[in-house]
Amino acid sequence: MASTSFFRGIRSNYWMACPFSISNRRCGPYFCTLQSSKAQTVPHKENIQGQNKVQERTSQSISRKPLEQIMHGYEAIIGIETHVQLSTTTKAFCSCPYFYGSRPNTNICPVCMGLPGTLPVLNSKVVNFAVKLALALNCELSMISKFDRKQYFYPDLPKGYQISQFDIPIATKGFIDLDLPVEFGGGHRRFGITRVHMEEDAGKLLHSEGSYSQVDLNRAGVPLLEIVSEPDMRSGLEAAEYAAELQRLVRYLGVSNGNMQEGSLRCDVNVSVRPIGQVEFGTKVEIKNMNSFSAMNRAIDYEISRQTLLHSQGQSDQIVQETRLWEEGYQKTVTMRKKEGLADYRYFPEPDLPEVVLTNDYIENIRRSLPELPEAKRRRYEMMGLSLQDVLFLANDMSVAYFFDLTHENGADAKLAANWIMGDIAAFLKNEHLTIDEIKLTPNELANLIASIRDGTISGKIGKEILFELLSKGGTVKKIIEEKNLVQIVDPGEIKQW
Amino acid sequence: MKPTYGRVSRFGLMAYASSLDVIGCFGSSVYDVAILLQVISGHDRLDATSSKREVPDFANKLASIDNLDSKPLKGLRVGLIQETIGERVDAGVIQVVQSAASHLEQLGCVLSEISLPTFSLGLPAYYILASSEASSNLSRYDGIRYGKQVEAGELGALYGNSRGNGFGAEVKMRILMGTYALSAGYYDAYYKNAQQVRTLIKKCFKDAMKDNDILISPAAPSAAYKIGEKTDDPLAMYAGDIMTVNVNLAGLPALVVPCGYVDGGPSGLPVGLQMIAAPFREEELLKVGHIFEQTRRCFRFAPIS
Repeated sequence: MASTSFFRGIRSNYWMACPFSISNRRCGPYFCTLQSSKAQTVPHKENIQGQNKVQERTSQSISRKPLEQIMHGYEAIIGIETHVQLSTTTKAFCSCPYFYGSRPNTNICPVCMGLPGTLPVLNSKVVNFAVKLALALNCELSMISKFDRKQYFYPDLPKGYQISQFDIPIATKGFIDLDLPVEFGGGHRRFGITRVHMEEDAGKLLHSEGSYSQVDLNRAGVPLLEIVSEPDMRSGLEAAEYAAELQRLVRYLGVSNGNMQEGSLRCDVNVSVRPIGQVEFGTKVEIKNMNSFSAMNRAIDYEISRQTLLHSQGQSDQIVQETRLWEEGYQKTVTMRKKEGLADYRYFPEPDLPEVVLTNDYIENIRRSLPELPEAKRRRYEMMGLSLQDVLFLANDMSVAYFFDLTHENGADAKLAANWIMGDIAAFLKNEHLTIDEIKLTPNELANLIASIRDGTISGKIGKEILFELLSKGGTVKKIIEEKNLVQIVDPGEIKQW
Repeated sequence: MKPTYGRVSRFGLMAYASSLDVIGCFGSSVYDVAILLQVISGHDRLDATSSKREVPDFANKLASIDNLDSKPLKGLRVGLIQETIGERVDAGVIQVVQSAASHLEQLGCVLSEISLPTFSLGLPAYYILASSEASSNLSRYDGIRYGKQVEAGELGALYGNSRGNGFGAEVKMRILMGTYALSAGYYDAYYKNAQQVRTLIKKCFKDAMKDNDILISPAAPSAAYKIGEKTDDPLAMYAGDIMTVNVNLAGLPALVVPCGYVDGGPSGLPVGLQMIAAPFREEELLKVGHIFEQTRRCFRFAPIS
């Protein structure tokens, strides 16, 4: 990609004062010169292969034994740091919009580029979203919180520091409730939330061919919420379900699209293993680069097995504090970088931003505006007498839950409505690649359909035919029955006449 | 004139120490300064630390000398800060400032000496906070997006060499000091302590302002030293800031007007009188400064409007 095109997108309304005429400079090695050495985020191929040999034996034995067997006498401790990218109209500290997938350096301005003389101004929507999520996570809110600078040098960090929250995050001490899927044995879990804080995202490095890298600052300054869990998870499944519930929550709240592939929801997982009964934690290893819940599940279970085997083989000293990457292709974790002591970020209070002060009115207004959240929905559905499987399916997606709720409110029996939605309607959606918002069937007509079958007007078989008609073409149950003369004849005398 | 912190937007100003940076104005008369301050003051939505307070019409309120009575500053309570006319302050400077204080008395001011017990703590606190913030604010000059980039095969060297070549010696020293003060294990001893000192200084000023409308002091402990005279002794140079750093830490407005001369050079060296007011009371300072300037005709280059 020609780096000359990089800064063409600078908007020039009130930024006319911008003292740098970057747009017409030729910047071959200008914006982008670091050679791919330490800066690289993906390990070299040889590296991976080298690791392969070393770990071959371990990984083979891992794949042969089920996890429970390996884990005998040991337990894993898992904590998760999640970054949620907020779907605010503009960035956290400037008025740039952000669109995923835009051409590099087109959603930028002097503020998010960190040009001299620019200052951050907090987007109030970020606070609004943070309070929403904090309330949904049952957190204690800090009535006064502040921003801090987290300082380190990296080309994707234009100011040389990230505006974040350090010692006084906006929310602390919450929890999240979830149900494990039935196919994995089910069960209710409550995982602690240590803290939620607001911060800005960094840009992205593009490692292209040649001896340099390029910097895309589109993502720089996009608001994030970092959610840190307590080390309460014990397996890959629990961790993946925690992340899935967080995704559900941010989607229900409308604060983020929660899309893992786009990086809107990113999980860094800390895993350690210790012999059961031991009080102190084992050495923790951080895993990155998992872009689906199933990858999280597999990556964590792999890492647990790896560490447990080292423990059981008396080689626990080989578990070192490091960051490992999940390699989807190899289905294993590999070393990305070993920690050389703790990084010193030289945090200090951000002098460019005033404290964030919340009022009770502000919080109560937001609390009142919260939708029914997944956990409340699930418990309500359970009270309706639905099976856990039905409950989880319906509450998983907010639109599906909404459709179900409306159908039920229109008089349909909960179990019957659930069956139709989870059965024929779900199958139709899957085949047609549609979401439930996009179909022509309305909840009211589904309720009518269920009622017509129930009162014997039509048979279940005819009902299915009508359903597909409604799904693809719309209309009302009544009209279709009339048009096609589909009324079920239940009078034996009338049937005899045929 | 150094206005109150937040009176003038910092947007567009290359940041040195964000919590201390204030855009001020120089002028050849207090009146000119008032006109300039009027124009640059006020809230800016691009600076979250800029104040939303209304900006008074500074210049229009300054009275012409012809309309002044014999005691134009009658009843104005002026506190001369004891700590600024004691040890380590040039005797000539003390004398000129005391004579300026007497002049204020003649104009009707009620003069008293007051003490700011935290005064001597200001200098170390200021240099810790200023260099800490500077070390952070100057991080963006990394040669990545603009400026002179030194090509290197490795990221650390790219940063190190670009910044090493770009910054001058004094800047490097301050970055090093600030980085040190913010480092793990030193933060509490330096940065945090300095912040606490800052809070004490603010409180001290607030207390002093209860009984005084303005406080006065010399603007510097000595008249100007020769170019290059103290280059090898940065601490001696930093000590020259002792009179003004406290005001800066407290975020208060201050006005410095020439008030006399001490021996030195071919025609003597000027001495400045610093006047300090409560937050956002620039108006008061301009009024006093304007009257002082017009009535004290002993010095040679302040034009009389």
